[in-house]
Amino acid sequence: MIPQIATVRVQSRPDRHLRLWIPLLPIYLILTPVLFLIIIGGAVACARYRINPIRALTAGAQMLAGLGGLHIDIKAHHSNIMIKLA
Amino acid sequence: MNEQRMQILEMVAENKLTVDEADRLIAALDDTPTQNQATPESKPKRPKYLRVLVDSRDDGEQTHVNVRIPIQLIRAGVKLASIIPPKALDQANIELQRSGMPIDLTRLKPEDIDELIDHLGDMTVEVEDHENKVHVFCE
Repeated sequence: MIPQIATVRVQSRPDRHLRLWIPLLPIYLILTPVLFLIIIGGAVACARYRINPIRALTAGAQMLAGLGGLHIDIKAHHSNIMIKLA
Repeated sequence: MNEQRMQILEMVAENKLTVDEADRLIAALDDTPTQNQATPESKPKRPKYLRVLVDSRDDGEQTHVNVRIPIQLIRAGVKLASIIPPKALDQANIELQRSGMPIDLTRLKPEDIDELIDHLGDMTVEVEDHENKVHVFCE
């Protein structure tokens, strides 16, 4: 399933941290016109390099769907950054 | 009703077994999985995530990296790689050979890589020295 929410936590100092829950659906909606252009550009590129556009589109959609569950957590010195897609 | 249960009931009818003994035998049959019914434990558990844990100590300061990558994302990446045009694969092969890795990417089939990913669950990589530790495994 395509990620619905992104959680970002940034801690620059032990006493200061920022936690954001970003709903991704509005971002997808905002990006829809750009996505349309990307699809057209992708179709042209597929024709140029003789790649099956359906396979490329499927693989791209699977990549996007596979992002759900990605979790990156990095702690260095007193800083901490965490990104989670669900 | 299966054959074994029928035999038990026939033995009760012929007074070869008491009702209690038959009850215990039927209960034992219920506990024993048949050949057609595989228990959930017998199925190989497919990994869902690839975990990379890095603990590093540099000048007394500790760095900790914890990355969880969905296996589905790796699978999709492999599928995306399978649509790379042969011309680009040839170039990649040349570069790999130049780097000392004589791998022919054109011979790599998506089915093989899929099978490889399925068996990632058995893999654990652990590299450790006195200050750094890297642990890669599937869960």
